[in-house]
Amino acid sequence: MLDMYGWMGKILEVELTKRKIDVRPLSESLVMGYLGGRGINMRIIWDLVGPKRIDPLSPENVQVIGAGPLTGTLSPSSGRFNISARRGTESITFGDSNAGGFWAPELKYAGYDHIVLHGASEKAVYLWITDNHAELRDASHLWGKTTSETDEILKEDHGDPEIHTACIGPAGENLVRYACVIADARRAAGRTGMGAVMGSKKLKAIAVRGTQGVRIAKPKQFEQAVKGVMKIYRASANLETFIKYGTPILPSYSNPGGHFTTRNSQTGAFEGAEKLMVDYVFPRYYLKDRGCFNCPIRCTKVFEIREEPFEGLRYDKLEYNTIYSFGSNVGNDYFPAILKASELCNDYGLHVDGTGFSIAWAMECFEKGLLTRKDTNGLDLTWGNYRAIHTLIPKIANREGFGNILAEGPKGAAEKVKRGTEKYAHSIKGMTLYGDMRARQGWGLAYCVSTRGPDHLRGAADTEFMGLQYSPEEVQKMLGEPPEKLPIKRGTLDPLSLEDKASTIVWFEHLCAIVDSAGMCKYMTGWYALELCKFRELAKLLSAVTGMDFDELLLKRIGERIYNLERAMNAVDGITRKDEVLPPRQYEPLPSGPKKGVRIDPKQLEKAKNDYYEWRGWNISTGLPTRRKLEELGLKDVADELEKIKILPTDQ
Amino acid sequence: MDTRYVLIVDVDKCTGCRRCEVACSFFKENECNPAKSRIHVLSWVRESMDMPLYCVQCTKPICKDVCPVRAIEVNEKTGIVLIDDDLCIGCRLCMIACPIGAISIDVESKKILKCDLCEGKPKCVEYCEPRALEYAPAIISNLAKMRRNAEKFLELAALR
Repeated sequence: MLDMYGWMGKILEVELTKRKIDVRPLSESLVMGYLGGRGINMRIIWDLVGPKRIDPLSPENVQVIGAGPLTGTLSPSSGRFNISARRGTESITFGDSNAGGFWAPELKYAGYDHIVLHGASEKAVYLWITDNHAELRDASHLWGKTTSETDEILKEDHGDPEIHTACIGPAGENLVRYACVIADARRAAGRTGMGAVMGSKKLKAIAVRGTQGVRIAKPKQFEQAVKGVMKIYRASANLETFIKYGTPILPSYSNPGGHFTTRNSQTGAFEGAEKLMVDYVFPRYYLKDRGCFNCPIRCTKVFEIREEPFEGLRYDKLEYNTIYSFGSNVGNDYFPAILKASELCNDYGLHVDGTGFSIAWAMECFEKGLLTRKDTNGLDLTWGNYRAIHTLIPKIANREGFGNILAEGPKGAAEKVKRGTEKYAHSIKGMTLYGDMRARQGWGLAYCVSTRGPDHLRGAADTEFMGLQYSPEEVQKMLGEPPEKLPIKRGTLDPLSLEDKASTIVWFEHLCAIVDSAGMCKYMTGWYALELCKFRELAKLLSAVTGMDFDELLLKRIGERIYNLERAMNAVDGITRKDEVLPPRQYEPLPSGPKKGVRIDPKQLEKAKNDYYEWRGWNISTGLPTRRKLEELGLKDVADELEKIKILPTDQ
Repeated sequence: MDTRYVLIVDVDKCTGCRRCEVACSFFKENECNPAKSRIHVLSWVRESMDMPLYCVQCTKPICKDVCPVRAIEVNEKTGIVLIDDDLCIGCRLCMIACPIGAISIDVESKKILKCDLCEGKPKCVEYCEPRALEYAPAIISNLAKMRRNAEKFLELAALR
């Protein structure tokens, strides 16, 4: 084994078909080239099956879980891991999702940085990992159980309440397209269907417990670096509000901003929004704060309902996604019903956006008369009927009746039902959206070009929201980059413009890749608020923890390498520029709300895509990485593979 | 006058993040490892409840009474119960006797782990961001909590 600081230095190889477990060392080329977490996951996957096209639910699909070098350390908000796969089931891309909680630090304390899952088991199993020991155990008694039941049973079975679990619910077992993996019964690795892939491998859970430490190369330097990050954290006014409310604060910005997605993205403002905002919700339902591993932010708000029909419901995981998914986007303004839906989704192992957008699609089709009670097993899918929603969630997870249709996601469901319902199924690269984009057009572009389908966790830049408070010069200074490397102009900061967005999207894509690979939470970084920690602070933390020399330039290069590798992976599956378009409704004007009349102009979007591919040094007509770019990033072998299968574009 | 400080916890404020455990192990053992922390957070997922436990520096320490080699002493000035690592033979009788379970063992080095309040500057307190942990003079230690509860009456009074 390598003598490592920060990393534990070990990859656990699990062959599910043959029930064989091996350990191999984490190589220096992997850690220096890809850092950890998401980055190393991607490289491992590429090396095993990158250039092959495979069915996401076949045993050939390789799934990798990874923590980062900062995970489990004193570096704040360091409880995170990524779970990735060669193919996901929710989008047409590779799979990749990130979650917090306490599971990832425990994996490192047990002695491992990454777990590679090969093949598929015949019978239901779970993986038990403890201090340099791993084994597959029978999980027949866990199959069919919810995620919180699984967590409780495993703790009981092992006689140790301190173990941590990452598991799938019935949704993952039944291969629901947007099934997620749930850590610690509450923390979802939500997007791209990683729960379905785990379910196809018949792997119910991974339980971990460890007593080994993460070693720090330069303790004094590390203490200073942590203090530096905390100083920035304390000075941030934006974070102060976030600490108080968590993501439930966001409707207070998005509704006036015209992007609080409403009734299946028909519009961007909700008439019931007041009742979903913190001024209304917190005095009535807020109980206290909780937090992920070593996180000073404590964005987990515990809510308690003391009124019928949800009297006695206490739950502590509710994000902005859940608020629009089961609030505005399905026409519901009753907060306790949203909290209940959140609990059901986590328990059944369903990704809230996938679930909410599937139900919203059905509700709009119901409104338009394209679906009737005959299709919905008698359920009245009128907007706002939360009882129907609560009935549907377990049905989706168990693929019962109409739930079996919705289990395919809006796009897949519409392809089954047809009758013109396709028009109301919104997705990009097959994956559901993260709200409406017409009143935040840079996000629209970022959604289009994101490597895993649309979402806010890749290149969606907060310059577009926070920018209007500042001048371009001030933002330029806050981001600490010279204008030739990262030009910040008026358009960059204007949410209704598609101009001057490309370079910031690229910059944020690289920042997110590094944060995901280091094992930190994005809320602690410039991704959430411009003034928070960025490449410089991350380089200091990483250098002190690992003892290797990381600087800003090196981190940006690693970020770019990870992003290009992801793009190459998608290229193998034939995903190109043509797939980077928005659902048609985003090109229509917003019919109501504060941003009424605003739409995304498809011509401008195409022009902005040109800017983006050009800034990336990719081929403009296909949107694919070129040999020149790949070689510049040390990915000659990837270029060679792409050339072999004839998808490498010319260097233009 | 008794100026002894005590480590107290306000359970309502504890978020269960375990930052105290990481800080404790990092500053005491030079590695990030909750298994080597002198403070431990117990969590209940379904109830959304967290509570840290640690040595409370008993005024009548049973650990001291059972120690066969007199390796445990109470500092008369500060009231801190201290283990002398040089005298300790690692018999773990103190672990068995502690009614709280606040004494543990480093499975690698076999050293007994017990909170010594970091010479009056506990790192767990310094790193507890929601200020659930506080190191305060015993006489005022619970006043903040009392005030918070009393404020509920204030609200009622204001309503009248």
